[in-house]
Amino acid sequence: MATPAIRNAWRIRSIFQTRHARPITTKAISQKFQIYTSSSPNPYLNLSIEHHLLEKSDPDSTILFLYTNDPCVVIGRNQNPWTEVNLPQLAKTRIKFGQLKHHLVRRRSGGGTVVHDHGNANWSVIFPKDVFDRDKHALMVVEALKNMGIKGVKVNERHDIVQEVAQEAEGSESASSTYKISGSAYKLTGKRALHHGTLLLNSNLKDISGLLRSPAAPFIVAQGVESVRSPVCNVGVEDNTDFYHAVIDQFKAMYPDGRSVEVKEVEQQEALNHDNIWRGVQELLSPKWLWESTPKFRLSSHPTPEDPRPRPSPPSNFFLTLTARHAEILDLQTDSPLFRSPNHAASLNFLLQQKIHEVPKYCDLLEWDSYLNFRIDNGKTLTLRNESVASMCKWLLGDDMLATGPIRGINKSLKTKLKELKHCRDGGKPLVLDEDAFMFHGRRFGD
Amino acid sequence: MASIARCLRAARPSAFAAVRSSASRTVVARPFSVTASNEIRKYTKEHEWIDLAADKKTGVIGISEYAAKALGDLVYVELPEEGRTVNKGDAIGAVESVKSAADINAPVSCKITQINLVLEEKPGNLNQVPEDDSHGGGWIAKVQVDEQGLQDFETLMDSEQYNEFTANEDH
Repeated sequence: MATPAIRNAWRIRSIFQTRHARPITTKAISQKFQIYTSSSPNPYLNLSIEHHLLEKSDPDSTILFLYTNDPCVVIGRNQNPWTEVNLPQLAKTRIKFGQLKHHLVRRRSGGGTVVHDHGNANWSVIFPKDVFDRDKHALMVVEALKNMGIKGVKVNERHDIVQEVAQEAEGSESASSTYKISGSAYKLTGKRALHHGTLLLNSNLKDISGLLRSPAAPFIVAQGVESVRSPVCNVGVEDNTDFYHAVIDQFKAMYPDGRSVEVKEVEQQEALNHDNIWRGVQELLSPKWLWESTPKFRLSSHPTPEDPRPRPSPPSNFFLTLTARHAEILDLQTDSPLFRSPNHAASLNFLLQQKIHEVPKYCDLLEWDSYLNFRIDNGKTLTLRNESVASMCKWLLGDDMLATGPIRGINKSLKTKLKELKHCRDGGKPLVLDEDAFMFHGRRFGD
Repeated sequence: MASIARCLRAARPSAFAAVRSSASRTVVARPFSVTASNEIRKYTKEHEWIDLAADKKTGVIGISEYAAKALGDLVYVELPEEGRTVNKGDAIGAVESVKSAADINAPVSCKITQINLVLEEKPGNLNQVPEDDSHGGGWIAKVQVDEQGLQDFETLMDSEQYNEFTANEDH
């Protein structure tokens, strides 16, 4: 469990003797081989350091970058957070200062959703695109693990690193099962390729499965990329830096010309003060990047010809379909007594072209009357209080399906995180926070 | 209250209330010039192509057959933003295949005027007909080209040079 105290105290120990005040200078990133570790546990910062190296390093260079993140759920670039992540569960675990226990991050590379914590080590290799190969560096990590004495590891046909674990079978000979220990994701630019993965060393696996089960998934058909579920296990390495050392050794074995390369540790402060990296952090922390990169999807409360799956039963006789592209509501259809009030059309129209993550509060919007009457099946009239109407709307439009309540919490945590990082960037001095300073892409951070 | 209560009846599918935003776009089949003889197609080293119309003001861009083949089965095409003005080499979109997000770069400085929304539904079109600029083809965007764009265009490879270039890349 990452309590706030542990979280703040946690830091990857500085494992290498050489410490450079500014390891990511223009000169440094023009070297043929480079090896970096990060002193920061911040996923937004680490992904932005990585992106900076991908974009700005010499096109012929080969780079190894190792880092460990605070707890976070990381979705692939073209994924849908509403179907991939249990947003209500994610938002429920608020810890101090409005921060979530797990941050929600959309990375820039492809692939599926993963959960990170301090028991995961991230390995990342940046290299020229003309020698792009999906397995080469996963095999490098496999060799590193073998050198650590870990058995049964290999790269499978999905380019994941898996481990075969013997199971104690009663009586007969022992059987074995295969577990995923590291995924692979890639990003290709004009001249460069990035291959990264996250290795389960001693992660808290109990957290993982619940966070990746979205209550909205049975209602949504989405374009884009759907995660493939795999059983996972830890390889059982206690100290992430042991793994770092093994990977560095293997990287040098693979690239003998880089064997004398110094390992440089990128300090959080240095990275934050770097303008290009800071731009990357701001982008990743913007609701525009997190929500509006979502490919088109359609939510239907009931089975439809295009999506005939049986649905978990909703709490009322409520029909709703909603289509959104880049989180903007394009189409909304409903047949519900709730929407038959005189304000019906107006409230539906209000929702059109709104961004899901910017709709103020579905419940407030729909609470135009204190009581609503329903004629139920046996002919009696049921009167519902405002409260239950709100909870029904929340169920359909809010917490449980589109997770609007949680979105507010997540957006708030993005904003808090940005404030915190900006505070560090400014040298940690007390800072009068001006709300208007948080303008990105012409839009204020959602609240 | 009474008026509201009168409105409440058992839900009937025929009484579906529906709204549709004007932003809910359908892609209109707009046949692109069939006699393409007036267009000149050029390629970038990053494997994008651009067809420049005879008027030298508009063009169509996409990714080459060579690149589409190298990327493997595409599962999603992230289209450029309509109306955006970009410089040559700017990342304007991306395609995803086998866990890889690959940038699509602007082959020349241009303004994006129309995007091929069909690709969002059918990314496979980009695998099948990546260099087809008609409806149902794998073209990515239609663009407006200015003076700078024309200069950029001149620096690109024609199809013969590009074939030679990719042949060398394979070695």
